[in-house]
Amino acid sequence: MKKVKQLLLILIFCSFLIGCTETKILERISLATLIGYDVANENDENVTATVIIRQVSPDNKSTLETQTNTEATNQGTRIKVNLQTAKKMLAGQTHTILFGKNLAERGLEEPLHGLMMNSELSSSIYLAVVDGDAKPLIEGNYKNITDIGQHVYNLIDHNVQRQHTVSSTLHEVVRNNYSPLRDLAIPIIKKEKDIIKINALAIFAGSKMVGQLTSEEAFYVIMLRDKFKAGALELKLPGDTLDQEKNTDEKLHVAIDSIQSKRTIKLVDKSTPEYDVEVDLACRIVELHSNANVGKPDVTKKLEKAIGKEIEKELKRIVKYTQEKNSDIFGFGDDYYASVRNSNLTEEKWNELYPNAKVNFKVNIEIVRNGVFE
Amino acid sequence: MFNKKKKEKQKKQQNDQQKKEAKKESKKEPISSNRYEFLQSLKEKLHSPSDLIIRYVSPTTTVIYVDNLVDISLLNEQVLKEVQNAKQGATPQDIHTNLKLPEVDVMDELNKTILEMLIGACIIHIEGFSEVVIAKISSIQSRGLSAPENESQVIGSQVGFNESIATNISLVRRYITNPDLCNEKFTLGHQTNTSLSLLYIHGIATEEQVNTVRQRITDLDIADIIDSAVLEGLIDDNSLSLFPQMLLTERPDRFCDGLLSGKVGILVNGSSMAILGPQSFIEFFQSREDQNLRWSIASFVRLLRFIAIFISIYLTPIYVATLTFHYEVIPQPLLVPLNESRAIVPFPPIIEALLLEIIIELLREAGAKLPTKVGQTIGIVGGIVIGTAAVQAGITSNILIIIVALGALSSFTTPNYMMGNAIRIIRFPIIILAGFWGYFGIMLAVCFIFTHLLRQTTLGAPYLAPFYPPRWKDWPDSIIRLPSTFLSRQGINNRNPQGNNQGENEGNNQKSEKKVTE
Repeated sequence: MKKVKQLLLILIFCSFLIGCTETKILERISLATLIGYDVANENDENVTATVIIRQVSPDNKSTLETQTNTEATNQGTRIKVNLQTAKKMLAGQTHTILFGKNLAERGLEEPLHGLMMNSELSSSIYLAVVDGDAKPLIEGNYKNITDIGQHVYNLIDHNVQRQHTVSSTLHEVVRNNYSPLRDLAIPIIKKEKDIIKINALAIFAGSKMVGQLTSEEAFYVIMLRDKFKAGALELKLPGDTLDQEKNTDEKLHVAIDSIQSKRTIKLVDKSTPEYDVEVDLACRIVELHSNANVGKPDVTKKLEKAIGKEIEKELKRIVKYTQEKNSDIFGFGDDYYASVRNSNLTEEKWNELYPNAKVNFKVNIEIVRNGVFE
Repeated sequence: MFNKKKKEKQKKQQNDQQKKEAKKESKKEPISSNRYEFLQSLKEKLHSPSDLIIRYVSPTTTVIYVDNLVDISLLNEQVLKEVQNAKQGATPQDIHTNLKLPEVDVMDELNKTILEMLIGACIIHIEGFSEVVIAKISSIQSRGLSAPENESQVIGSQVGFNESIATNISLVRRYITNPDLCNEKFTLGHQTNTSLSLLYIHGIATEEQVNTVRQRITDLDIADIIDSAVLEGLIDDNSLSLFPQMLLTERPDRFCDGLLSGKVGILVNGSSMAILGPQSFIEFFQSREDQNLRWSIASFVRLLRFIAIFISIYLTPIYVATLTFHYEVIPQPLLVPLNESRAIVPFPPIIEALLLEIIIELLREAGAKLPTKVGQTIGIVGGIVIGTAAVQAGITSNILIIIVALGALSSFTTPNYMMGNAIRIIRFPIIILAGFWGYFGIMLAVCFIFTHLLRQTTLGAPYLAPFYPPRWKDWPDSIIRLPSTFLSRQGINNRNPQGNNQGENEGNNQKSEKKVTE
C-alpha cells in the first residue's frame, strides 16, 4: 500500500512537471540557418547580425527571410529579431557562421565565447570569414542559389572533406583559440557576382586576423597541421627537370592526387628554437605536360626529387610568412611546450620566440602510380 | 481499519468453510450394492441430467453411461454383448476379465466413478456387489490436425496441436520416441476437473525446474481452467509483468525442440496451445524455422527481427520527441520536407502520433476479430482510405504515416503473439513520455523497461539470460545463429549437467558409462 502511494505521488508530480518543459514544435518555430556578424560601428562594441531564417507557412511552402539587427550581445540581437518574426526564432539548425573581415581584424574573442556558451549550437558548425562584410554576401541575390544557408554550408563542408581547405568547425577553432600557443586559421569566402567561392585562408594572431594565404597555399598548411588522406595538388616545376635542353624558366606543369602524407615535427634546438620537419608523401601522377616516359624509374626519380624540392620551397615560404605575421597556425608552440620540460612557456614568450624560429624541411616524395591510361 | 479486520475475519471463516467442504468431498463414499440405492445416489450426485442413460440389461445388471460421451459402436458390440451374454451370477471381476477393451477397471468409490463416467466411461453395476466395472469407451470428438494459424512457417512441418490432450501427447511421442520422456498427469479446477500433462525429458531437463513447475501446479487452488494461457499466467514468475515469461505455442515441433533443449512443457486438455518454460526474453524472438535455414540466412533474419523491435518501439516516439523538442538533430536535407509535411497539421506531434497509432490498432483489432476474408479487405481498405484521407485532410503528416506503418509492420515480425502484443502496447507510454519530455522521456522509458526486464525471472532463471548475466557460450545462438558446431544444444538457463550437449558432455557420458560397468 505504501509503495502504491509513493508511486502515485511520483506520477502526480511528474504530470505537474510536464508543464515546465519548453516545447519547440518544428512548424511553430522559425529556424536560423546562417548567421553573419559584422562590425556595426568602428567606435563601439556593437555587432550587426544578419540572419537567414527558414519558416514554413500553412500553405505548405517553406520560405526564407533575412533579418538584420545591431546589438552588443547575441541575446540582444535575438530579442530584436524575435520582434520582427512571426514565430519564435531558434538557432539550433545553424550550420555556418560568417564573420566580416573587419570584425575578424578587430578580434573574434567575444563572438567565439558567445557561440561556445550557446548550448543550442552544435560544436560541429563551420566558421568562415567573409572577404568584405557578411551582410551583402548573405543578402545578395544569386541566380542559382535558392537556400544560401545550405549552399554555404555545403560549399565549406565538401571542400573540408576533400581537404581543399582547412577545417574550421567551432570545436576546432575554439580549441585553437583557447590554446595560447596555437593560432587560428579560418577559410575566407567571397561573393563574386553569382557565385560564392572559398577565396583564401585567414590567419590569426591571438584572435585577431593578421593576414591571409591563398587557397592553393592552404594545401601546405594542411600538410603541416595534419595528415592527408586523399589530397590533390598542381605544381609548376622548373623546365629542365626532365629535359636538360629546355630552359629553366619554361615551366613543367604536373598534377598529382591521391596524396597521402604524414609529417613529423622534431624540436632539435630549444634555444633558437630549431625544428626538423619531415614530410612523407605518397601520390599518383594524373597529369604531366611532357612526353617523357613516366614508366621509367629514372624519370620517376627525377620527378620525385623535383616535386619534393618545390614543396619544400613553398613550405619554407609559407612558414616564413606566418613568422612575419607572428601567427603560429601550425602549432609549433604546442610542440615546444610538449618536448621541453619546465619551459614555462607563455603566450608572450612564444610570440617573441616564434618569429626567430628556424624550421628545416625534408620532403620525401614517393610516386606510387603514374597515372591511368586507357 | 475496523473494516479491514472485519473483512479478514470473514475471509477466514469462508476459508474454513471451504476447507471443510473440501474434506467432505474427499471422504470416500462407498457404492451401494443395491441397484435402487445406487441409482438414487447417482442421480442425486448428477442432479438427474437428461443425457444420463440407464439400461436395465437384466434383473441384476445395469449399464449406465452419459449419452454422446461414449463410443456407440463399442458400446453395442463389446459392452452390451458381453453383459448380455454373461452368465447368471457373474461377478464384476468376471466381466472385467471378459471385456475385450483396452481400458477396463473395477472401482468401489462413488465420486471417482462419477468422474470417470463424465469423461466417457460406461458403468456396469451388478446387484449385490459394492463394486462397479468401468469400461472406458469414451469417444473423443476433436478437430482434425491442421496447420498452425498463428505461428506459420515456410520451411518445416505444417502440423499444429488441436484441442484434445490425447492427440497432442501422441504428437509429441511421435516426435520424441524416447523412454525418458516423462508424462505426469494432473487434474485442475474444482468445477472443470481439467486434465493436464507435465512433459519433460528425464536427464535433459533440470530437476529443479521440473520440481518448480510441478509444485506450482499442485499448489494451485482454482475453480476452473479453460485455456492453457490462463494456466501460463497463473504459474509464471511475475503475472503482473507486461512480458510473458513462458512460451505458448501451437507447434508440436517447437514444443519438442524445447523439450529436447531441457525445457519443461505443459499440455492442457481443451487447449491447442502448449506451455513451455523457461523461456528467456531473447528466445521469444527466435523461431524454430531458424534452425531449418542456413546459418547466415538465419542470422540475418534474427538480426532483422531485433531491428524490427527497436523500430516498432522507438521510431514513433523518436519522431514525436524530435519534432516537439529536438529540432536541432534533424539532418539538413530532411528539414524542409519534414517542415512542409507538418505545416498544415493543427495538432502537436504527440496528438498526431497517438491518433494514428490508435487508428492502426483499431484496424488490427478489427482485422483480427472479423472472418479472414473480410478482415483482409478491411485491413487494406482501412489502411489506404484512412491513410490517404488523413494526410489530405491535414490531420497527420505523410512522414508520420510511413513511420507508424513501419512500426506496425515491424511488430508483426515477432514470432510469438504474446510477445508481439507486449511490444505493440509498450509503444504508447513511450510516445506519451516522448511527447512530454523529449529524448529524456524516451531514455526514462528505456531505463524503466530495462530495469524491469532485468528483474524478471523465468522459472527462477534470469530473463535477459545470455546478455545479463553475460553467458558467452550462449551468444552464438541469441540474436544471431552461428553454424551448429558453435552452438550448445541446451542454453545455460535450462542446462542439466548430463544433458543433451553432445560435444561438451562426451566426457561426462563416458564417465557415467564406466561407473555402470564397474
